[in-house]
Amino acid sequence: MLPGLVNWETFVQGMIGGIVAVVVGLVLAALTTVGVVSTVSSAPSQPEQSVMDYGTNQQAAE
Amino acid sequence: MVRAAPAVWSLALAVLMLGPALGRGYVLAYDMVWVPDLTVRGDFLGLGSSLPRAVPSDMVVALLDEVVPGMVLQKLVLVGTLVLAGTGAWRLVARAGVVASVAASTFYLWNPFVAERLGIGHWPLLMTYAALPWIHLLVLRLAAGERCLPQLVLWLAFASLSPVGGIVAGLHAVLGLAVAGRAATRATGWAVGAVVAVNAPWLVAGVLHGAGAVSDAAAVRLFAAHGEGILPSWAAVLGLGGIWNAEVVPASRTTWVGVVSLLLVLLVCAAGLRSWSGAEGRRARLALLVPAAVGLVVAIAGAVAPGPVGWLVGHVPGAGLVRDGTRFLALAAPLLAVLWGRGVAQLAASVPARLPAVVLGTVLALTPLALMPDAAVGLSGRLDAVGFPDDLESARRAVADSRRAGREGDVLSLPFTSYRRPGWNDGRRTLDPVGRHLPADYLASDTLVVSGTEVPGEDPRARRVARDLATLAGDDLERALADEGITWVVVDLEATADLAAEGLDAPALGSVPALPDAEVLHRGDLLAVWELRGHDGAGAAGPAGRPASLAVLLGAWALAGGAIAAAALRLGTRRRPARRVHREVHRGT
Repeated sequence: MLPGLVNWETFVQGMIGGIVAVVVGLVLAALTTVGVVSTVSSAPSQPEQSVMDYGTNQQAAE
Repeated sequence: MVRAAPAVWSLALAVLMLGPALGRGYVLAYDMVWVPDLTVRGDFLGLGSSLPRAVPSDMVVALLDEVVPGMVLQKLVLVGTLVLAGTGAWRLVARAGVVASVAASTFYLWNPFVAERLGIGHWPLLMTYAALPWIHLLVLRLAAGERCLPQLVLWLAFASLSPVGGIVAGLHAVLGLAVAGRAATRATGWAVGAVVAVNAPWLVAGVLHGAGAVSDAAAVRLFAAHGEGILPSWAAVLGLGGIWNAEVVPASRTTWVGVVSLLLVLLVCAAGLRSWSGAEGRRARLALLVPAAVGLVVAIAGAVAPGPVGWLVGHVPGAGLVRDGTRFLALAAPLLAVLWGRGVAQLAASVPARLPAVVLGTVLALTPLALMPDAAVGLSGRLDAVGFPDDLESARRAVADSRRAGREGDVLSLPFTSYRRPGWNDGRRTLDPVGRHLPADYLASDTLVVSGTEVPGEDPRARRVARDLATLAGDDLERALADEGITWVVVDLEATADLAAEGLDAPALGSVPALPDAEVLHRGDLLAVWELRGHDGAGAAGPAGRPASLAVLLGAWALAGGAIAAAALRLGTRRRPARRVHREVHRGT
């Protein structure tokens, strides 16, 4: 490599890495947003339990 | 600041998770019931007729809240436990770099096991969970010939406030040393001794209950690992979830987010495998792998083989401890945290440019929060701090005055059901808090009801009293209760009304008993307290009634206390000369 010139190999690797990181970041950000929204909007709705129950092992109805 | 980073990060996550639970008041959630001043009483030693499920945690809390108010103590325990868990996991992968440490710490603190066990109020088990990384690190040092047995004894004691906690911590320590082979035979022997010593109080109390320590075999199916959303039980367990009680499962675990979360955990952990294999020796890897395998097997056993597990629980005293098998998942968490941390670091390192690598590492490290956001802010409001109504304090004073006047005996807490949903606790389900608030030993129902199915308790005295309540009234009932050692009867009027509204006001459960000769000591909106006249509680039919048993039990407590004191003393004397040398070196002498 000539001094002062760009190392293209490093540059391309950085570009690819950066794109991968940004894509993963965007996917996770989208997952988070959708996850939060779906979590908040689908509060668990177990069948009503008696006041004396320890809990229920019946799954929440979505 | 850098040295404080693990604690600061863990503290931030702990505060985010606990949220309103750190406000003024007490957190009452399922099995977690803290009161302003838990009075020291005989049953907390394991002297009562019921199984010693809260030995030694109740006694430890009762002693500590003589120094620190119960409200402050609860916050310290909850925050401290989570901070210790996070910092311990950070240390597990400290050599793998900051990214790995942050990732491991976040994963260990923010996962379904922590959220679900916090939700159901198993705080002593979470203390065990917090201690496991520290125990693992000490086990490695001990196996390498370092003299750190006192530290291990103290961490085992910290982790053994409940029977299951003691077993989990003991397994982690002993298995971790045993895999080192002959080189660590002596250390393994010492560790076994330490585990037995710090667990002696509940072990001996359990043995003294003899055949009464077997549980209902049919309950294994109720308490076995359960699926979450579309995840079957085995998959939920792999992601550290799968608790039996669907009420405490975060909603995010029941949606497709739970599936994404599991896939991501498995992929990232797989990515970390190579780095882990290269960095750690065989002994260190086995010390994490073997306990993890045991934990996963026990966690899933009740779901895949309910028959054999049921037989064990129904025939072998003490085997009921594996009934709620997913508690043993704690054993798998340190391994997963290490693999996750190393996996995140490995994936970030595979990005050639620095900035994107940092972005990827940060994003991955934070995914546990992103994929289970409802664990934040007090588990999305499931945990909150509330104040006790004045009625409870009045009832406490009434019983205390009666005791000062010379009456002895136990309190009977009615309605005779284990759990309540008090309005003053915003309708959150909690173990009956009344007995713990009062200053005497108490008898409460130990029958559990799960989705309408009754799981009979093990306490023979509770069974007899339930029968008496169902079949007797008036003088006959008063005499029968007095014969069982009952002097005071406390009725939670709100819970009684709630049961009546559901048509469950049968005398054995909820209706206010007819006690014509009893004196009313207190009657408020929420509670009524009667004192049975002319009878002094004859005493519970537990180990307390037999001097030899009592002596053995006290010996067990002395053994545990002695082991802890000896370890602390040894540690103190070893550190003092070290500090003196350090000071002298700095003075140039």
